[in-house]
Order: sequence, then structure tokens, then C-alpha cells
Amino acid sequence: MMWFVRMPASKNRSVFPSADEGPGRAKSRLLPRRFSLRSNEPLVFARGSGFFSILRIFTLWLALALPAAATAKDKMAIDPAAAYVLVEIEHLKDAVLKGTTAPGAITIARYDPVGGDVRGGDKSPGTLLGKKEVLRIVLGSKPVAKSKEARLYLVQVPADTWVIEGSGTTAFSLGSRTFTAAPGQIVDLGRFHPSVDWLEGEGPKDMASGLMGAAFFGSVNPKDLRPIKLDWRPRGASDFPLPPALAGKTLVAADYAEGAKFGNYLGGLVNRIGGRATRGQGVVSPVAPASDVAARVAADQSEPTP
Amino acid sequence: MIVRACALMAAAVLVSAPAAARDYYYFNKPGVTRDQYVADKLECDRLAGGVQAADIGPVYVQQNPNLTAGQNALAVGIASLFAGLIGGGENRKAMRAVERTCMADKGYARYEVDKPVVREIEKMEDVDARIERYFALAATDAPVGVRIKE
Repeated sequence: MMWFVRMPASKNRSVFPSADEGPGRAKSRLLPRRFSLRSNEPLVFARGSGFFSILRIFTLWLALALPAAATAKDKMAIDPAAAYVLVEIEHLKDAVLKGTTAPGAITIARYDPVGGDVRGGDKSPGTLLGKKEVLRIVLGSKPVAKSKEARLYLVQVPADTWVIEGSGTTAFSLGSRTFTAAPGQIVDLGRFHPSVDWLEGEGPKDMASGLMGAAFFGSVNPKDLRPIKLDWRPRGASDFPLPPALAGKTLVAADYAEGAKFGNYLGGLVNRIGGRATRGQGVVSPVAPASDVAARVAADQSEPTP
Repeated sequence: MIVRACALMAAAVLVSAPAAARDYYYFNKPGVTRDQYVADKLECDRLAGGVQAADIGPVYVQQNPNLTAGQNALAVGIASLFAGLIGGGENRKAMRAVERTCMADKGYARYEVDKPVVREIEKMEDVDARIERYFALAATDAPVGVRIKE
């Protein structure tokens, strides 16, 4: 940080001749180019051209920020008594406008299988949690790994029955799936692919139509709003390797149970988790057999982690 | 200048009117019982009630130095009114989308109906009579009107 300290006055050179030099000098000297935050106050660190000064600042930022980020990931330690969920979520593409991509997000909430609602919901008021207790978790930030297609999340959760409540602002109130997370378990939820549940013949607007809609109607949304749906499959060998924190740990496949219904607590649209294509079906989407996850874990442990 | 601004505003209202226009329709599922219809409709209304009002945030209008303080305040008021109308329209659109998705999920088809039919039913003060009319439309094997998408 000492680079930002101003030079002592004795080191400052003036364009005007000093008292020692006398008034006889014909030309004032050229000062070296400086990148200064305030005029006439040269900075030691900033000496040189503006470009190289910015480059130095950027290098300094990299040197400070990158080790900090790496340390945060390395510090992630698994509490053997706690429950965790591991889930891979693909990006949401062409949601409203063609060509747009945003990180996919999933909300999970604690579920009362007896009352048939999210804990503390309309049908389950007796299971209301305390103010400091976690009711729902949005898996959409702080991934442990990411690529151009998907992100991997590893999150500690309170041991309980959980429901996949929604994605974005769509609640899967019409039919979703639950799973349990017991103390000491690392539950592999698999890989989810969120997409807009368009009707046949519908699709995202192109950029020009979207901008026109925003200009005249104040919104880029289509006339008929469509909810999000999730496609699911177990994580496979082509997906993210297990994060280093899970090396040597045992994962269990989520014990999904279908048909969970609950209120619309996300404030947006509603849908079935698998979309309108799964209406009237007893099972929303195939459930990963435990052997798939066991094989996956074995493969990950035999491969060196990056 | 003022005339041009008024014309622009009128054009904006006319253009945005279709977005806020209401569709007149009913749901039909041949053979549904009255109790089942009422239960389905109540459940879908409950889910639609979960839609939260769109947060349009504060409305910023740059102060015009050529106007008085009162005129600037009026400009902010008009801008807020339009922002509120747009936000309210989005909210109603989301609620209708929830109702339609929910009823379609329960096996109901949607049929367009003439405005006077719906107006007449909605004017009924007796709630049971109103439900009875909608139930008759819902349960009929020969629905009238054009079937429209979900």
C-alpha cells in the first residue's frame, strides 16, 4: 500500500527552476508523464504512462484477489455431522429473448409430507419454523464449479424432508418431487436443465421485438407468460468432477418421491416440475438408481481432481 | 410542442391498451361434478393469489428547469401513474397465467365467450347462482365459443 503514498516534497521536481538553479535557465524541464488522481500531485506508484499504471493496478488487484478466492474454496470443509446437497444446474437459455443466457437457479424448501405443504404454509401452519431457521435455499449463487453450460453447487442444509420448490419465480406447486437429507449425508440431486415451457409454436422473441415491446408496453415479456420447467438426469461422467472437498466422501442418490403439491410462495407463475408434457403422469421424470451415483462416485475418486 | 406531447401520450395509451385488454373466456371439462369444479377453481384462485405485485421501483423524472415546481411535480405524478398502470397490468397478466396453467393442469379447456355473457354472469349478486352459471358452462358436453390456447 505504500505505493500510494505521495512522494516527499524534496523529490518533487518543478517545471520552474529552483532557487539553487537560479533564474538563468532558459527552458523549463519536461516532467515525466504521470497518471495522477489529482493534478500536480504525482504518485510514486503511478509514475509512467497511464496505460502501464492501469496495468500495474490491475496486476495488483489480481495478485490480491485471486489467492483470496482460491483460499475461500480451499477452506470449504465438510462437517461430517451435517447434511449437504450437491446439484448441477444448466444455464437457462432463450428465456425471453433469443440468444440470452443466464445461470439457472433452483429453489429448495423444507416440506411437511404429512400436511402436504411447505413448512409453515397454508396447509401446514403447525410446522412453522423459527425466525432464525432456514426454510428455503436458492441454489443460484456461489457455485463450487462452473462452465459455459452449467454450474455445480454444494450447499449445507438442515436435515429434513425437502421439496424442489421452483426455478426462478416459477413454483412447481402443481407437482414436484421431495427428497430427504439426513445428518452426515451428502445427497446428489443430479443435473437439472431449466427451460421455458412454451406451447407448441411459441418461442422467445428476437431482440428487435423485445426492444419494441419494452419501448411501447414497458415490458419485454410475451403476451402469454409461460413458466419454467426442469428436465432432470443423474450426473454422469461427462459432467463436473466432484469438488476437492468431497474427495473420499460417500454420496447418496436423492430418494426422490413424486407428486408433492404446495402453495405458490415464490410470487410468480406455477407449473409441474416436468412441465405440461408430464401432466397426468404418475411419475414426473425417471429417478436415478442409486447404483448410478455409486458408479459416478467411484469414477470420480479414481480420477485426479483438478 | 404541448400538442405534440399530448398526441404522443394518447398514442402510447392506445398502443398499450391491447396489453391490458381483458380476455373473456370460461373453462370446460365435460362431465365434471359441481363439487370438483368448485374445488379446482378455488385451488387455482389460491395459487393465483400468491402472485406478488410487480416491484416497479421508484420513478425518476429529470427536473425540467423551464417548468415550475408544480409542473415538475405534475410530470412526476403522470410518470408514476403510467408506471403503476404498467405494473398493475403485469400483475394481472401473471395472475391470469397462473389460473390458466392450473386449470389446464386439471384437464380444463378454455373457450372464448362473448363479453355480454361474462358481464351478465358477473352482475349476478347471488354467488351461488353465479357459480351455477359457470358450472353449467364448465360441465357441458357441447361447449360454445372458440377453443383458445392455454
